[in-house]
Amino acid sequence: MYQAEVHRTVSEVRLLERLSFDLTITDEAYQSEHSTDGEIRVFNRADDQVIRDREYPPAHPLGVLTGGVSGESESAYPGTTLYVGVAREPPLEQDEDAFQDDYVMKAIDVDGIPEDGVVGVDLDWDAAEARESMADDTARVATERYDISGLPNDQLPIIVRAELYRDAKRILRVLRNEEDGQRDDLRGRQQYEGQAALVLDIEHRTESGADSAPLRVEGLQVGLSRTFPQIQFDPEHGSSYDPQSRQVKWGSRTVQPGDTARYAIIGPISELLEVDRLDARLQATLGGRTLSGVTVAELFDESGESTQQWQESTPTVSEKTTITAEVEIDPSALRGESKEVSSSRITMQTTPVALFNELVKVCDRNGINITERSPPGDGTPVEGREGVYDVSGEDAGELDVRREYGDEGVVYAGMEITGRYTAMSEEAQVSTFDETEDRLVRRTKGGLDDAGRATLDIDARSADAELNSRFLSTIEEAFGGEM
Amino acid sequence: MASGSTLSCRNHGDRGAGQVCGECGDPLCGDCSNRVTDVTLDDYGAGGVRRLIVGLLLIAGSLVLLDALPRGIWLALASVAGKPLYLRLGLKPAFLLTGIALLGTLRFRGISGGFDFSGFSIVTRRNNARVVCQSCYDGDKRLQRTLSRVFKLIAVALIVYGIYQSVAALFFRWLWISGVGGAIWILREDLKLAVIELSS
Repeated sequence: MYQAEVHRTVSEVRLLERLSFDLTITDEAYQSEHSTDGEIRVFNRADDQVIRDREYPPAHPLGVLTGGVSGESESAYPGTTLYVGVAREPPLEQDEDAFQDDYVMKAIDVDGIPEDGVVGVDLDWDAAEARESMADDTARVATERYDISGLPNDQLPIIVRAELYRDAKRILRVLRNEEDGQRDDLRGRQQYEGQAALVLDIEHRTESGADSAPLRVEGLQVGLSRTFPQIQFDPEHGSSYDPQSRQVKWGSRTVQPGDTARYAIIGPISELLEVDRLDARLQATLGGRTLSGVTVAELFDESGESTQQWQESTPTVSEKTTITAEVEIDPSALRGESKEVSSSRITMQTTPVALFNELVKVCDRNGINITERSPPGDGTPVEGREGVYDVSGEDAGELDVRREYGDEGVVYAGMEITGRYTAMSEEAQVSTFDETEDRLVRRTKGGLDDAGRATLDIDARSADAELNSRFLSTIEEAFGGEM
Repeated sequence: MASGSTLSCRNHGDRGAGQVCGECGDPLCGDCSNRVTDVTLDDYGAGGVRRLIVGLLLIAGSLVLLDALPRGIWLALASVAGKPLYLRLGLKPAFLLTGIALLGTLRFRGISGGFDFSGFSIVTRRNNARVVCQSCYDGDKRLQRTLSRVFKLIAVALIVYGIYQSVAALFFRWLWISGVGGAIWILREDLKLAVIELSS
């Protein structure tokens, strides 16, 4: 019976596919992307015989005497090629052009390995390399990579969702995974009164018609751009939070097909919304399953016989999918209230800076909370109009504000200030000689009727258009109803 | 394997493939596979010392032991046959050729290691069968099979001819021809390998 080296040295063959999943939820974008690839890994471990075969290869006496010409052919000795038989049971997708009852199925593309064939893996050793492997007691891994393309979103093994809940009753039900209509737990609800919960759901999608393996979530790590004292996490058990690095980590857990792993960050809504950015990184594995449907059908040596004929113990064969999900969330983009958007524009004969300063005062007077502010820049000179500066683009002033209307809801608004102005500071210096004349000259040169002209654009967002109108009216009235 | 999936035969897609071509890796069903003893798939195993002892004994028998046997044995055989048989003259070259052939099949390990003989061992080359597809078979595998048959045929013919001549004429010097046949039989795989190497 042929005894190839691979019979002794190959301990494991692993088919590993990787899914990298990116989800971005911000005010600007709600998008998810994914990329997939795969590889066949063969774990090869050297033994004494491997070293001996390299250092003292068998030789014929005549070959030694004649310098190697002895009719010896070592082309298949010591048998270091492993043939990995690869088969595919491809998951199928419905063609986009097909009607609901007229299924036209097409396969996901796999490039780099045959759909039904053999991948030859060369597992030859260098003597020094084999010695090193033995000394370190480590296996060498030979890798054959392949590409997977065309995996549709609806065949991803996981679904990642993020939601922001503000109602204590709802928070309790979500965290307890209770259905609506169940008896209300008033005591349990109390702990979430005045709180909001940012919930991240990792759903393990159920495979249709197949034995689905559980999803093993190796860990979830969430980094926050800011922290606050009242922050809580759910599930609390298994989580660790480092306020210095503003990172919370959850340990491993298993999610059965159709189930959801739910993680929550809890705190006052105002604090949660001021967390500008939340970066979550999830690592999970799915055993016994590949995304592309590629499987290891059988292993063969150079005699063409399968492992069933091998005398030594056969290598372990496994298939696994590793999932890495990167989620970027701006919690304010998850505000359930901001479904209605109303806009308004106010134009005034003043400089953008003056309008910005006035707007800040208006907000302070009217209980409008400024969450982010960026004053107007110096602007850029307007071509052909000496002394006039244009404030727009990156120079525009910005204010992000929030106005709470009690139980009625919250209005979030973004305000942008653009405009043009003349260089008032230079004008003031010149005017010490002849104030009236100089000012007239500069204003004429600038082509402006006054010191400047500024425009305020407001986008108000809330659950209710009525609230938006009230908010816009507050601002407009503060500026004397000038629009 | 893990999922119970199987390969399909390259030529008959509806048939499962339990083997692959050992050279090109194509999956093959039973009807598409050829099993040949391939010298390029030989490996090495124990048994070298035993073969060395037998070979040396045959050579020693040829050079010393047959001459050391009591003369009365040969005379007794001659008196039974009624004429001189020349058996010793036939056995001596036959033993010598067979012994040399046996030594010719041996390989050594560790002889390139200078004076360090810790890795030294005597091994034998073992033949193995390889599954190949038709196109790979049509390469040097067909030549190998032909050579194997030719050397076997020559060896058997010489052995039979030597014995037949010796018995028919009661003139056993012809046994040296059987010795040549025996040596070819023993060395047939090595001779085949040499031809393959030289032809390639």
